[in-house]
Amino acid sequence: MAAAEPLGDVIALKIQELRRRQSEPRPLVRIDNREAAANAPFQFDTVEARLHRNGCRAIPSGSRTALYGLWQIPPQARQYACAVCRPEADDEDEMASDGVTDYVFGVLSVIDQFGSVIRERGREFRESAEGRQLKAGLDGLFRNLEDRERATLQVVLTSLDGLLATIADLDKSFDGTQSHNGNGTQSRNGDGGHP
Amino acid sequence: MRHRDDRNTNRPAASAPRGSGTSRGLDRHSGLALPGGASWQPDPAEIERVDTLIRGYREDVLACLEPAVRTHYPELLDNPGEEYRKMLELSTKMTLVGHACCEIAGYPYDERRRLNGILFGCCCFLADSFIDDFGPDATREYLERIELLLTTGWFDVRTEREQLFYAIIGRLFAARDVLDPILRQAILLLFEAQRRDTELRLGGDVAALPRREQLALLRRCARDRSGHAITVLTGFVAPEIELSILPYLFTAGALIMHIDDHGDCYSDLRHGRLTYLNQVRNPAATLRKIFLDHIARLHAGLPANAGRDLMVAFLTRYFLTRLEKHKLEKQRSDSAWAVYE
Repeated sequence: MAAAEPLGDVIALKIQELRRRQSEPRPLVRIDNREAAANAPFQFDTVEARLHRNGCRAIPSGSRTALYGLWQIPPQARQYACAVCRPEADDEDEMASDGVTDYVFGVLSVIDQFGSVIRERGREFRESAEGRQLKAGLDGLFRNLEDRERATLQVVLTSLDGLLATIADLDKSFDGTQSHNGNGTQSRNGDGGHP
Repeated sequence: MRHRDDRNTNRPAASAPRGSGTSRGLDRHSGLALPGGASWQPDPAEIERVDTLIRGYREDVLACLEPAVRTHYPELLDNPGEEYRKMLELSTKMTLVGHACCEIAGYPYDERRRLNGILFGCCCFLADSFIDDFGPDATREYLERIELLLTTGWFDVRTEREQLFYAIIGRLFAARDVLDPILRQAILLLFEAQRRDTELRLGGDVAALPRREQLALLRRCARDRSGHAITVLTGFVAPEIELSILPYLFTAGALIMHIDDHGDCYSDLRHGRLTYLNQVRNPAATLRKIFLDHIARLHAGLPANAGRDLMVAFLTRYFLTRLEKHKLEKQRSDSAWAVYE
């Protein structure tokens, strides 16, 4: 007999089931950054321990399968600079400076993509014994908050609500000419918005 | 890092004769004299530490993986081919290598990081089984599905084995920022290396190449497979990988693969799998040279810390046990799994 399934496993597997409910599933998360890495301004050869500019002719053919794309030169990597191409900080590209907004858009894209399913699950959960218990707990928590904390929470919730409404308006105004949630597009530096 | 047959499933600490970590032991058991007094030569106490750690990690691995297997793929526990035990042994080895990598990266190997090492070992074992064990068509299909997972995050779970695989991946991805630029590149480089290796094996083109090119290609394939795997492992156990240690991690991974391939020489040949070490004319001497070159490079290039010492001791131990395994396998036609038990 199978043992009890940890909650994290259940969630991970349930998320995969959502794919079957979508006629044209959009990407959930893109780990693949091969294209962005190949176009990064610097390439680090892990075989020879050598830092090159992208496209340097001194990169050995035997190292092509072991190159890491870099957008900036870390201080400890300067000692590995190739003598042929002499990589300099001038060529550094911008890493994602907008990491926080990427997170917001990430959350919104999930809500956008799975909104109907999440709402449906929310309704079911609210009616369940656990849901009622949680609601009572949240009500109690809210009652016990100080005025200032309650006001802060209200501002956060209102802002999120407003942001969702704005995104929905923007989405409509695109009139279907762009990718629905932007998930399929490359981020500027290809690192997925790593802060 | 592959597992087919008895691949990667040995118990390096448990299987090597006592005292074999010294240069005297090397002489006695392998017949391959190594230069005495080399600066990298591990202290016998460090070899003992490998033994002790392996014993403890074997229990940790069991405690972590058995509930997961019981939940998602209970049939594996009753598998007559000892696949479950092999999975535990590979994960144990990965946990120990993860320990060395984590400390090399400059971080303590705490319980959470150890857990990631165990999960990664299990993940490798299952991913390799998809690629190795179900025939060429399934191999190609799995590569496509794993690429889909990496490019979109979607993985259509069809069997209990796949359910276990995905649950393990889910835990790993939840435990670590998988979008770290170096880690995600390492994952994709590992995938590409696996795909090249598979194409080489299924296409059979390597046999048609001139011998020199054939050997170079096989050597590079071995290097990349395990070189990238150890980088991914480090990415999962350490919060950050400094660029300065990347080449040495890669070197350590490549050495593990060559040692593995020598130990699996006869079973690989029985399955028609070409590797660099089963194609060179004098494999034991070739491996000895590779071992000496790689281990000296690691010792000189890595920061002098406990992680480096553990890695060097493990690799020395592993080299010895796989030489021994190669010899024993030559004498037996059966699988060498019994060597370790």
